[in-house]
Amino acid sequence: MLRKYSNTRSLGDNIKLGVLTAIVAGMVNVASFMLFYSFSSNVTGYFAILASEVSQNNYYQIAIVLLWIMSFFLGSFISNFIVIHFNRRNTYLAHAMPIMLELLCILGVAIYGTSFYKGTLFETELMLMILLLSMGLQNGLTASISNFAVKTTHLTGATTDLAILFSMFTHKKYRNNKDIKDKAKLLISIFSSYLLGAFIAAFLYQSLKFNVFFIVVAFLTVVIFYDLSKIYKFNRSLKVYKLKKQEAEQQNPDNIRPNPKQVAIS
Amino acid sequence: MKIRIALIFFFTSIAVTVLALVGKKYNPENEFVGSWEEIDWNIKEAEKSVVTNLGLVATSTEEDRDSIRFHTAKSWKFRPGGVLILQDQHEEKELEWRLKGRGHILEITDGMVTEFYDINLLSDEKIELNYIAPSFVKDYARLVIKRSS
Repeated sequence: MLRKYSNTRSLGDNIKLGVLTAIVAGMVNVASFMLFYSFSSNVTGYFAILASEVSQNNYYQIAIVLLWIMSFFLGSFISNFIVIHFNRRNTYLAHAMPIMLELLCILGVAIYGTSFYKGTLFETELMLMILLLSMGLQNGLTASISNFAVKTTHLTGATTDLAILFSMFTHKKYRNNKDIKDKAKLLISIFSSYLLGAFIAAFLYQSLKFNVFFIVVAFLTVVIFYDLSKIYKFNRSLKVYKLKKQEAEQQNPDNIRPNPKQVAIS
Repeated sequence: MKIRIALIFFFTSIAVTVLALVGKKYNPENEFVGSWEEIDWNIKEAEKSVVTNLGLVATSTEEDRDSIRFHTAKSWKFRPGGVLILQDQHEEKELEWRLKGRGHILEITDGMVTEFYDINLLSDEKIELNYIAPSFVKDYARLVIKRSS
């Protein structure tokens, strides 16, 4: 899910990443709307709000909306910065680091919200800023490592893409095109997961309030540790293979490594 | 080089905006604090039952006793720390108030029922609040309060 980069990723890798991160985005967006009366996983609406606040000379609101937009921007910036600068050293770590940062942001909001939140406007604005930063981190990462195939924090582009794909299915020429079918599968899974996350948050909000974010953290932990477990299993298998090979060499070195010259003479 | 300058400019502008906000210490919450006098409660064809029962309750007719519920407090005292006192001639009720979003939503709650108002106008003299009703309600309820001396 996180180990592979760009064109080396399979459809399965993208679907797994898309599903889990879309659930997270749906949950965060709905929870933040219900708690703070503002969305946190997309910024398109904030550009419209910004224009509206500018026209009304509401300088405080202009500054706040600008900060929120910039937070999302900063999150995406940091994600791609980490990916392109650390990808060659350790691909998994470079891809997991933005998710770890996102997890820290959401965990911070969850802990502060459950233990210290007094409901002041400053706290609300700050927590929204942190949530927008975390969603920027997530969107930047998924878009960056999937060659812009996976974007999970907002569905405007995905709706357009899916509509285009569906219209393509009406033409005989494209109906059985594997690439188009794969893309449709990916987009449909992102849509349904986002919606599922939104429903989960909406249902759980009444009883859990800020604790909803702990569930989000659990999902992000799965994203991080899923690949880590794969790497661990792979390294373990490799170690076992090397040990077995070494033992075999020690027991019967001639069979394992024949002398090329002798082979040639015989 | 140009990109670096642009990035430095961008991140500096974020820092400056944050510092300006912190330094100015302006907060819409402070604008609310004080005593306000109710001057108009306009419920325009709204489904009246959605204007829930908080604070002081008045009913206009006998048959609407259970459905029409809206604040008719003469005085709205917004205190720091989220305390709202609704005061009439004979009654007084303590509620909680908070601002949400970017300071554009007023939340009022008695612990059981929570109401949200969109702040349409916030000035030194007057506040106009639009009741945020569920999406199936087509019309609106508007509350106007003015600062009392």
